[in-house]
Amino acid sequence: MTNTNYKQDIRTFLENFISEEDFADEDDIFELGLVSSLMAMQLVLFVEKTLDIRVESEDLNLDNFRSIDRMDTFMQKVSAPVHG
Amino acid sequence: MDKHQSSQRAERRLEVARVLAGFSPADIAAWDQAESLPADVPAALAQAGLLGTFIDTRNGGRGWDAVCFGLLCAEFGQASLSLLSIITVHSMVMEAIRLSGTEQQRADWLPALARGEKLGAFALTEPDFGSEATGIQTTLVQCEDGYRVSGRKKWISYAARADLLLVFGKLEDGSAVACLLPADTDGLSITPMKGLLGFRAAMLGEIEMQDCLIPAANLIGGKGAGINYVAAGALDLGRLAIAFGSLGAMEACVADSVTYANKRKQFGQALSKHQLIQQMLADMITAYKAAERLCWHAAELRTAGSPMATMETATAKYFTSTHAVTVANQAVQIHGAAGCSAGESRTERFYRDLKITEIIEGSNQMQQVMIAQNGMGEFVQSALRRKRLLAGN
Repeated sequence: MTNTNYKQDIRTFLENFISEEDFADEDDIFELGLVSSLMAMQLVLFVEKTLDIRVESEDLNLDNFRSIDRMDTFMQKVSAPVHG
Repeated sequence: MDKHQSSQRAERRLEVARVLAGFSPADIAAWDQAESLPADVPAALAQAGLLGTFIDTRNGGRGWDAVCFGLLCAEFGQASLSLLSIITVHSMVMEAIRLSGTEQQRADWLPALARGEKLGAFALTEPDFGSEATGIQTTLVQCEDGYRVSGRKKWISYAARADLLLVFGKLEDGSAVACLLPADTDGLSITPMKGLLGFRAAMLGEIEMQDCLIPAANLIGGKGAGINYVAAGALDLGRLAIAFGSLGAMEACVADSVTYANKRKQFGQALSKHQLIQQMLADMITAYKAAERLCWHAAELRTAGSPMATMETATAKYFTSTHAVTVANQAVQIHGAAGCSAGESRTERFYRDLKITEIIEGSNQMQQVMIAQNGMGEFVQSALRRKRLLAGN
């Protein structure tokens, strides 16, 4: 299985909204005020569009979307095939 | 856009226009004056299949895309912004369930709502908290049978008639949640609100909830998701509805003004021949065309599932509602005394109603904050790209 890294895609998307020239993968974009909490829904839509999946209600948690690192982890998780 | 899609959209718009033409201008004016909507009006809209168009057919809707939904809202805006308000809040309840509900919740609730057998209202605003939605004080206390909901909501469109309320509140740990509260729940009382500037026939109400018991299955979107996801997702659709509805009302204001200016004569010639009237008409036409492009752009992005749609929808809502108020103001000015009289023209109603569109589904000041905070990055990045290009790397 290929372990896709979504970090660059996430960064490219976020750059549409973040006016800081530099921000790190681990930066909490909400805590640092780089985007408003109104961005939360757009990040869900981004994940859904990128992975062609539906983000289920139990995953609608800001903690999954706080930073590039966390979004990447979340996207790896929800895009992984289910075993069993 | 292909020919089939284009003609399908035109047909759907015409279908909506035909249904709404069944309500006479005199009736629509009378609803506004009476501050009430006859119960058979929503029933007729349900019968015509117009209350759940954007919901997929599997869940009782018609699977219309966002552009078709927008055109429906534009037709409602042309007819009556009070009716548009009812469509908006009902759609927001369905959208919250569609986006944030589980598969089971969608199957349980959406078909009856989409067919208009039940009508919903969106209960977020409280007497002390509006734009600051995270401050809401309604509480949900967990109990053996589910949750007990207590609190007050105010200025809730269609509350006085709705079957189902989507209520936002907080759990004991302070996390925001959304829940579905049937209007016949014990402990719930709803008082109609009168004396409003606009949206007078939208059946606004004030809601009092005292230990209203709901099963845990009525929680939509999970703990902590109430504002950032459930409300935000529903309001995103609500803003699209208000943007297109304002656009429709704007179109009516321009059309009425042109007709009146051609017919009415002063100083020996039609008003439309006077340059100061032409100046107003030019500004109205230009504002309409600019707003139309923004609304369509937002709806096309939403149809394509683009994550950029939310920002563009906020921009369309902000621009269209702001300019619609200006256009309605100019329409009243062109109509003169006739524009100030409900018996003579509908422009006075549009003027009052359109003011409300600057306040609802997120005040325009909140839209400005969102557009500024989330829109700056685009320009920083384009300036950087330009700098790199000019430097040759």
